[in-house]
Amino acid sequence: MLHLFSVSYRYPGGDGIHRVTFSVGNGEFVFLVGPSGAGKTTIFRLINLELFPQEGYIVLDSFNTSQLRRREIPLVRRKIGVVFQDFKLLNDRNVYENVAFALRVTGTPGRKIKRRVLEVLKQVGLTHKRFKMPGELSGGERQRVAIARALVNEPFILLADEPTGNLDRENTREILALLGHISESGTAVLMATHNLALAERMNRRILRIFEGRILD
Amino acid sequence: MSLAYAFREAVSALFHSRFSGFLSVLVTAIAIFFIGVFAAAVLQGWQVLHHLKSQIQMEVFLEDNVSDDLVHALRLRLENFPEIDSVAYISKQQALSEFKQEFGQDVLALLGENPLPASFRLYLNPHALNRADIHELQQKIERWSGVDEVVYRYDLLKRFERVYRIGIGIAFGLGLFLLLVSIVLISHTTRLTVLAKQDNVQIMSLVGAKPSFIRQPFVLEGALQGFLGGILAVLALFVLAQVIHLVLPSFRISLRALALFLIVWSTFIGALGSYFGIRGILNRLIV
Repeated sequence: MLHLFSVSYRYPGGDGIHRVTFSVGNGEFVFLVGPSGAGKTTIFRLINLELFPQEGYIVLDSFNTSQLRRREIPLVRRKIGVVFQDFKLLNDRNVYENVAFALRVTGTPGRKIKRRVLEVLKQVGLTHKRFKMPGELSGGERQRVAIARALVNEPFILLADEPTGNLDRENTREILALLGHISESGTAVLMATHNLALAERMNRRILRIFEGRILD
Repeated sequence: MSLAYAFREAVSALFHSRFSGFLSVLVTAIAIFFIGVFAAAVLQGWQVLHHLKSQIQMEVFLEDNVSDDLVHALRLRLENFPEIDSVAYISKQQALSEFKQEFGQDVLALLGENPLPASFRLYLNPHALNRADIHELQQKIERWSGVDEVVYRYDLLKRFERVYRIGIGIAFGLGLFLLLVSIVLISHTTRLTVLAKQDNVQIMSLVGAKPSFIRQPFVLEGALQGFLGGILAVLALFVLAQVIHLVLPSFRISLRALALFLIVWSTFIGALGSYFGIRGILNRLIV
């Protein structure tokens, strides 16, 4: 479960978010929709603990930001999967190694890594391309590798920041379908987009954000 | 598991760093080689100094009219000094026969009397002494009643000690300078590695790697550079020792303990250099 309670964060330049409150339940698929600069990425950075609320607090599964110690941040992040618009893959490693990387850096034993990586690659439909390098993949395939990497630690929530921003219509449809399956299997999905029409077509809960405030 | 991962990453980074990695290893090797040469020279010099000290005696010449009781009392006082290993009394008669033995001339027949004074020959403890102590001891004994003169030939020792001290100073300064250069180079190389891998660092941080885990491969890379530099330096030192032994067969230098020390030290310096090199930049990159 994810809860934001009256969370505010203001950058030195003045932008930020103001008293944002919302929740995302287990297995729920929620869109966060707003124009560029509305505060979507700020909310994601706060949830992923890159920033800390200046007011209010966030509950992430069993952790509360108002009581969180610095050394617990890596442990919380292992329960959150993150997908970026620009994929952020490691171009010097193949598909398998990109996904395994997220487990290796958390000290997971080798045998478990192999089993779990093959599991998620099957889930995103890329088992047959596990030895390909990122440069040999299409945009949609690269985003699926990024999703596999985000899922491999079995997070309770997946944060997807404009995951279809760099994709064509066909790949966008595939990625959205994949995110839908992920939420149905129990992992909550919070997807940021500036495209309201796209969110409306998916028939899921929509949170609209404008100038740092949640509307409705 | 995490150490194996860090080691693999460190080895891969070292090979990918190519020129800068090679340069760091080379400069570390040169620094450690010179430190090894200096350390071996200092150790050999100390042994020579020790030998010289153990060879040199102090002679305490007595006045002519000293009674047997006073000779006995002086001997007891001399034996009480911890700096003195042993004391031998050379009577006027013994001095005469030693002179005759050494120079082949009978002074008594020549002069009609024995001009040679009785003396104590002191064998000094080389562990307990440096040149200042010896001089102080000499002056102290010279003030005793019944003592005419205390002679101690330390010219050679004095000269050797001075050269030895200057040598240690130069060796220490140069070694320190070279070490600093290698620390700077290693920290520079690992900083370049961090910059080349900043995406990895940020992704590691975002997927929940602990900062210590993120730091490990980079510190290990520095340690590896230091280790390889140390190995190269020790190999070069063994070659040098063999060459010296071929040219001067009586001169044999034992490098085993020193080699181990140099490799451990070099590895430590590498780890230290990389740790300080990446500390700031990693703190900025880890979100």
